[in-house]
Amino acid sequence: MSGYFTEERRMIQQNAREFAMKEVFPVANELDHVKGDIPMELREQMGELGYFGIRIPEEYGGLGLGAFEYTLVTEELARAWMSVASIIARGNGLFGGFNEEQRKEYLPRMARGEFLGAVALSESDAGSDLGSVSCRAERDGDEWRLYGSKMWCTFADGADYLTVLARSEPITDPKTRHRGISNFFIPKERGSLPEGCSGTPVNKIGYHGWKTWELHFDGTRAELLGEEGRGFYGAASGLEVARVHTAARAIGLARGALEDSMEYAKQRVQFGRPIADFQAIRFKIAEMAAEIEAARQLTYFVADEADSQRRCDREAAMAKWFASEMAERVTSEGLQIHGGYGYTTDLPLERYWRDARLTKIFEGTSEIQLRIISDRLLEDR
Amino acid sequence: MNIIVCVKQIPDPETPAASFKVDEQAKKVIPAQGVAPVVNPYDPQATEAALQLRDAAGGGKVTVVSLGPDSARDAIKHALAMGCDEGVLINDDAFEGQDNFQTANALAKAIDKIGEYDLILMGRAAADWDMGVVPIGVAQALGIPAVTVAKSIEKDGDSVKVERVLDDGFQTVKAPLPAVVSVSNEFGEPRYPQLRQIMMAAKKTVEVWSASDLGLSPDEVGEGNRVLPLEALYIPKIESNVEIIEGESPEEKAATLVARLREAKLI
Repeated sequence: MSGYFTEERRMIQQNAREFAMKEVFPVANELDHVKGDIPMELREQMGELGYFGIRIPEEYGGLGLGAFEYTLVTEELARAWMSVASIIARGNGLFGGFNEEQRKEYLPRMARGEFLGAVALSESDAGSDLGSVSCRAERDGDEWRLYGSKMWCTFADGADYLTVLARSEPITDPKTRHRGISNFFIPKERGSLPEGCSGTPVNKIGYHGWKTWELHFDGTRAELLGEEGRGFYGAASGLEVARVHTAARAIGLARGALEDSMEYAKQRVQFGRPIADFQAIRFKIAEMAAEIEAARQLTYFVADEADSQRRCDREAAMAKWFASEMAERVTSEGLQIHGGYGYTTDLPLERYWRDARLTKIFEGTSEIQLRIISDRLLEDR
Repeated sequence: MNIIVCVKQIPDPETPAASFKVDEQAKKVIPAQGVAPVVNPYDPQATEAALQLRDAAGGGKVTVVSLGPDSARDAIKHALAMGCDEGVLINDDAFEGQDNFQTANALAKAIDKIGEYDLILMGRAAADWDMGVVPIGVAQALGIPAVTVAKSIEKDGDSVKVERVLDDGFQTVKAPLPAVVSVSNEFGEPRYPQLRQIMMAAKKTVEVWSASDLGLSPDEVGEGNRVLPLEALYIPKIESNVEIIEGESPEEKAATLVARLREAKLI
């Protein structure tokens, strides 16, 4: 094991692995096909284990651990089901903008898994370019009301609150369009959408276990989070941890493909020998393992840098880009090793592959990561 | 209520049979490459029972004991992460190759050394050799009762009420404390360690005791002093043959079949 591993980290990893393979994996294989939601009992169990409070400071009822431990748990959960590895990001801390009183109220509940969020940032015409959001916020006495539409809001129904990025001032100059955007907070009932908000679930090819929504706000009441007009800068900060979390999700999926392929290759007999005897298969497995390990070590490095409070935006983008591109290749190779069986929905290979495809898109597309890396390399900033 | 739980680290029972090898000369099992050892699957159930009984009694201490190599610390740490209070590893090269009776004797000495205990819990058997004799051996060495294959355990004053799993039903027995009880999988699922408990367990020190710390002399321990000599160790060969019974009529085929089965001493 590498130098990053203390006994505590090793134990966290082992226990998460056991939980993921015994409790999450069978549920994933059963529910992914029928697009079923992550069961509430599983969410509660994860809450008891502390998975929603890994990064929440101890004084707020969390465990006070870092990005590294968060990464370890994420990889293990993603090995079983990417959506379950994703839901822990709906706890594990509040955005900047929440005041101390709110943090005291919500963080302990969040650490227990009882206060999880959904984030509405993107719109049909504002994805990577969040400066162009058009969802409007209008002042109504001491409150605000939201109008407009949001896309890709996963977990809008199951969450206990929404945060919404909306324009609180009209654009006067296109050069300063990033100003005038604010963050809003909508506490809500778990299991429904807030009053004044309607939605339609998006038809996805993977990432099942929770629904992803197109939302329409028509005068929905909301609280301003933080400073008016500074929402964009809040949404664009703290992305390093989100990127290592996504890299860890990609690594977990790829590891699933590798582990399943190794087992299958030893059992599948063709031409009188297990296919694991053939160099064509052995080299595939070697390449898959090497790529996974490279992505993992880069991700560990970034998590460790983030925990040491060192700047790592460039490396975080590298880890996210490399891990997600790797995951698509490796899950596809795993499917190839399984031949026709890999292309069936009887085995989880196709699920790893469908889910891995998304890791190149969410939390900043591969192209955006490359832009961040090249900007940091080529521009003096 | 003070409880001692004995746990064992074993080769992963999920290891595919094909990766399992035996050195017939040395009479030893060769561990599968790249497969990490695990906690015996029955032991977390015994640990779970201990934690429930401690908490139901409103306090006390659960001490985990394991006899094994350095890596057996992981099995102890796992029990600590589930919520046990203290851990002891009995670790000495001198134990190499010894049998279950010697192990039971060493565990009994360690239990004596720990001192105060109301109950000793263990898994019903270790899933490696699957003999299930250590609980009885420990009870014998300590001169206290043993109750095996428990489905439920309840403290009742100075005794323990145990529901046992039998082949054809259940049996409820009562034993005076202290006693040894072995716990079966019917007890129910053990808890998963919480992150907070894992963090606490990682910080705990595990005491390590050697054979001499337990007052065991060199002529009691190790392969050379086995109570149960190991004559041979091998993986049984399973061979299958197909023989088609020929005959003019079904009656004739049946008669030949019966004759062949009798010859093979199958009927």
